[in-house]
Amino acid sequence: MLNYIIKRFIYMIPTLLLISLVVFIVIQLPPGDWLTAYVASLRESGDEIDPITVELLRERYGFNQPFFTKYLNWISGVLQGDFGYSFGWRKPVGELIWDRLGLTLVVSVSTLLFTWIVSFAIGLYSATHQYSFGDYLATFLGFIGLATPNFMLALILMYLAYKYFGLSVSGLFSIQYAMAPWSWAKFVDLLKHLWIPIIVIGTAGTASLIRVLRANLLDELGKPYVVTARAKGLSYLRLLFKYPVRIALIPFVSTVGWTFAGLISGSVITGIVLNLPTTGPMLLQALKTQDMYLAGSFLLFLSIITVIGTLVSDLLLAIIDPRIRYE
Amino acid sequence: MKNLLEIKDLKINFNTEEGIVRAVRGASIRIDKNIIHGLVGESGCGKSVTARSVLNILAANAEIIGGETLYHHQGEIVDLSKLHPDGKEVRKFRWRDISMIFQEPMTSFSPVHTIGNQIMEAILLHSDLSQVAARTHAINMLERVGIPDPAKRIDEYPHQLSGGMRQRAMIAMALSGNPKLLIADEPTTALDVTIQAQIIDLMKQMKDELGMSIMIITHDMGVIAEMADYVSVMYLGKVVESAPVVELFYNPLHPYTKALLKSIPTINSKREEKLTAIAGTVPDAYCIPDGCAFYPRCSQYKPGVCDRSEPNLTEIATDHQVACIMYHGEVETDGGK
Amino acid sequence: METNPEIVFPEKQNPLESEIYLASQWELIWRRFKRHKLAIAGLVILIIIYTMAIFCGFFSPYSPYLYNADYINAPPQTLQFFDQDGFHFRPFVYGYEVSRDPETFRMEYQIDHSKKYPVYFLVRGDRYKLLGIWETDLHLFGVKEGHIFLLGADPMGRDLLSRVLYGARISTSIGFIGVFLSFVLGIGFGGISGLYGGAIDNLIQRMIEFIKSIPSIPLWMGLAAALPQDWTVIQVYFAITIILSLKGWTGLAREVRSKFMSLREEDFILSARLIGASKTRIITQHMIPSFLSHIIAQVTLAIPGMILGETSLSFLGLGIRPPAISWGSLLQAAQNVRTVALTPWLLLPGVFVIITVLAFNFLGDGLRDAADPYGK
Repeated sequence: MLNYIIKRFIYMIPTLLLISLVVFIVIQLPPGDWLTAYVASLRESGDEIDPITVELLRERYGFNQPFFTKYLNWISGVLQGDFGYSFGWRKPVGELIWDRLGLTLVVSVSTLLFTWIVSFAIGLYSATHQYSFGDYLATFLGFIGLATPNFMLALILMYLAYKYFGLSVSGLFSIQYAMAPWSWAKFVDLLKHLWIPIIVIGTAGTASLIRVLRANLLDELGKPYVVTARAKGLSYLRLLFKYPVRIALIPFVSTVGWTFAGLISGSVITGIVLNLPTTGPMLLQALKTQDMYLAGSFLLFLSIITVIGTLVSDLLLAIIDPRIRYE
Repeated sequence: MKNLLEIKDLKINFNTEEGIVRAVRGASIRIDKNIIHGLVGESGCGKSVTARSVLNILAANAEIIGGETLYHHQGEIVDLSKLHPDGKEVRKFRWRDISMIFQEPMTSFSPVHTIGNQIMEAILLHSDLSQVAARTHAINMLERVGIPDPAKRIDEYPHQLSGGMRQRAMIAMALSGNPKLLIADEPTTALDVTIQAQIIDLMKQMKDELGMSIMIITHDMGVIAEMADYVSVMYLGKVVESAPVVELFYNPLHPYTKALLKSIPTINSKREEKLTAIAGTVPDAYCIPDGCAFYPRCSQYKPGVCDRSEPNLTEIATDHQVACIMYHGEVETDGGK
Repeated sequence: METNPEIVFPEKQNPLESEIYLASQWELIWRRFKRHKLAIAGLVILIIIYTMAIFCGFFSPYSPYLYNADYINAPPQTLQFFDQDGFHFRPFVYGYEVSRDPETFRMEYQIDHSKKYPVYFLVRGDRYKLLGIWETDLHLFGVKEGHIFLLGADPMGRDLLSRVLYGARISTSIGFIGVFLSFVLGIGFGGISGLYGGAIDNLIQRMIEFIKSIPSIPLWMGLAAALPQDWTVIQVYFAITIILSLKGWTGLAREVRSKFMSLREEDFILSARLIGASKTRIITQHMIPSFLSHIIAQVTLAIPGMILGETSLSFLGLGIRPPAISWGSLLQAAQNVRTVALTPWLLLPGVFVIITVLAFNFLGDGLRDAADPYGK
């Protein structure tokens, strides 16, 4: 088991390096650089900027260096905790991202828990009550959940909350807590706001996990070992949880890695629509203005979180499935 | 009383999307104490369903719609088929009194629990033994069924054992409660021939040691000849002939039994002698013919008789019962060749 | 020993059965597929949607670009058959009575029962090019006087129904083209992986794992943001399609690979090899036909992801940009709660997204079940 964990950690290193390279390529892709975008936006508002100043700035920020020099500078900075400078915010990236990444993680992990609990309960019910009304209802809602884009759901929920309760449900904090330091009251306030993004981000994942669990469980319920267990005189509930549920959870856990990637993805777009203080809105802004180090750091960390999520799910998988451990 | 289990006129239907399948259509089998009773038939004839119905562990879409399964238990007679399939009463009989092993030793164990966990689970469920005592008992059972190094094997997972070893472990699990009846559903079908012989020997040995009965379900006449004391032949959900094994092999009466015996090679058969296959195929279980279910394939089919009414299992000689119109009234002495 | 049937008795044989033995694989698939009511419904809905998308000019009453300052944010009208005189065979719509809110200066619309505009079929209206070739002005329906906004109008007073129908061209085709690219990549990489195994397989598998580990929306956003502003609609369209299929092919490749791997072990492939069939022949005549149905089902199930991806990107302003119309770019008008609260019909393009995605999911599920006609 320990070997397996070590092996997985070692596997992670080239993956992360490759990700950093891809991220850097992506943020370098747009023609021109932040200064080009900046000059263009100045020109739109009627201002002109001296071309010599632009060249000097370009020199200072190192925009003229060859690609690999720039990449090496960036990645060695990142490894030492220096993520570069945000031109748009005129601040080091390190000062900007942690709060937002932290809240993204809070939203994603609580959504994952929500997704797990809800899909487990509904999937279990659906499989053990196949073709019942509840099963059909769950299947139907699951299909709708899968077909609705996150931002649509966010807009609909916001609209309903506004129309029927007069609530404005955007953001993660009420105004009085938004800037305040962390306190118990702020935490409670966070919980009050958290449910909308959780539902919005979690619905698609929940729907697909319900389908996975239901199919697996139905498959497992027909396996010979279930008959063996019945022949031993086990009661239905005890049997259900010890054998088929346990085994049906294996693919359930293995898909959680991808589900988590989906949740991170979903949290970005939902964050934009619901105007959450998470990565979404700032990333979109940074991408649009070619604020490359800010965008790059977000992309890098979102990918790292996903890779770690996948790693955790693989380790969980090894814990519940002895066949993987002994490979 | 020498009766252990009597299945009387058992009827089981499967409700499927395409309609109702009459899987068992009035089967009657009597199993005596301390014998090996073989149940033989082609695949799909309802023999496994009949076996499972004894423990009341049928699939969810199967329904016992008639008949009785009488189990003689400490001077009392219990009708197992009338008990609720998930209820406490019937669960008490499972494993303790009647235990079962299956065809697929690979998939009959849960792949993610150790062998020991699965054996001890049954022991702990049905007795007051402590964890330690249950473990000792499980190791002891594994040793008795011939698994080497049982103290180590007990903590292994099914995929770490070979097929033969898994089936031995399965037998150890089934017998660790000292049951009165072991139902073995095609226990050797998935195994290599050499392993088959070992498993058959093991079952015979365990039967003598523990003093129980075995109901062996198979499509293999060889296994029957090797093991059984008494045989019931099933065709399309009905028992068509029942007799002691020697009587059945030397004096088969039902045309189906005769055809079945002609279709297998024997060591004495001459080179030029051809094996005969049974003509036709097993009819679709959705449209079982009226009258005797076998008549479309029967060589002695009498038009106007066989396709009218279905013959019942009738005692022709001592312990020899057959369900064929030819033997109603008088016994034909024309035996098998 | 199993008894071996040699002669099949014709009598008492289920007549269906012999037919099943003789039917081709595709016939069997179609037969099983037909039993799936939801999949059939999905297929019908998709045929309708794609027909409307292809002939969008004919089905929409107006040009999608027709700007009308009199009908800014006009709410949807409903088709009426009854008025105070009773039932009318020809449907009609009521006109609006427009007023301006004195404080917010917003246009407010009330139904005006005195204005009745009967709906006519096959009417002459705005000129358009059918299939981009034939110029015509024939529309399926329209009104001869007044106006008809069955889905309401947008903040520029343009007919939302016409815009949704025109938007369907991009939104529904992007899934197809994206999936086609994924399909080519998936079969290519998956096939190489599954056929050759070993180091190449390992390399491709690591690559797939790597691509899968990058969260899709941030990656799409990053790539989409890199598209130059001065690109034409066609360029952007194909770029978005390529971006969407960058991740899409990985799932298909895995599917193809596992099929190839399991098929290699099958007896019928072995016997084909033993009788000396060439490698190409085995692949094209035996392997591909035996899993093509599965792949088609998988492909169908991959289209919704593409449609949702395009919608999300365009909604964020990173995908299809106005004046090009897609369902996602239409939804951009409904960016915030206030707009949605005042003009909820601007969310209607999203309903079309949901219906299309649902239909593809139903169809794909049915195909997947039918893909294995010999199973069960």
